Amino acid sequence: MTPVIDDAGFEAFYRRTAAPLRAYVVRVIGRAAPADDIVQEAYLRLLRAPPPIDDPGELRAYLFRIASNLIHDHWRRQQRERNAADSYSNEPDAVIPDVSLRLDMTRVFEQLRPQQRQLMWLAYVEGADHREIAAALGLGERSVRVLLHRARRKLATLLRGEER
Amino acid sequence: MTDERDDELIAAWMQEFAALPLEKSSLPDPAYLWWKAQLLRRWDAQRTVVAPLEWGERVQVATGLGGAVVLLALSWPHVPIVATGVLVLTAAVAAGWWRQSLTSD
Repeated sequence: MTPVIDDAGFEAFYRRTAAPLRAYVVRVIGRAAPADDIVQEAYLRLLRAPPPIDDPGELRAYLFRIASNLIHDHWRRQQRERNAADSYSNEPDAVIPDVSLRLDMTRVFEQLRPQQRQLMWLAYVEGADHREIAAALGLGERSVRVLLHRARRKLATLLRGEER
Repeated sequence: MTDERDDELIAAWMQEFAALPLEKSSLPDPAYLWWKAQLLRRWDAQRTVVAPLEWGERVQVATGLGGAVVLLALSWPHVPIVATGVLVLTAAVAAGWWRQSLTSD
């Protein structure tokens, strides 16, 4: 397959998209090191099997979709490792910090469910509409509407300090 | 239900959150990513070419083993005779080699 983007084109695309993509992955995952691995892997997958897309906006959406899939893989792997660790240890869960007192934005955001973080970031930071979010996360548009509403409500509750 | 005021609050909060500085990036240079991706593409292409050959090799080995099993099954009644013949032949070759090594010393 002939690459849709060439060397110079990729560099320009990378310069435009790397920072927002990294911000998305870091904020959703919560840690920079695995996030950087995911971002790098997303670009490699894009280049390794380039989609027949010429439009930079669509290509960017496609890149976010790859990253979203990789984030899911990362969570699944983490869940498996956690389950394996739990079978050997019966330590109590970590205490969730009191966000209303700490006013720590990162910790507040981390209290959303992983998918809610993705939804909120794509909607409010990336400015993606329901259709774009649905494409990026592999969901139906109607589901996105409902899930986004729930995520918003949850964040509002957290910000009011009604929930720990 | 989330009211309008909540929506405004959330939108503003998300913008503030997005503006927070991130940890230092360890992402590689785009040129490196491009080079690595081209290398991986080349390997992918090679693997695609070699895949039928590898598959053919596997078929060859399987056919050979299957043939050997069939041959063994067909010649099963004669196996003791064949085995005796092989043993006698091996003993003769070994004896000849031993005698030759004695004379050469």
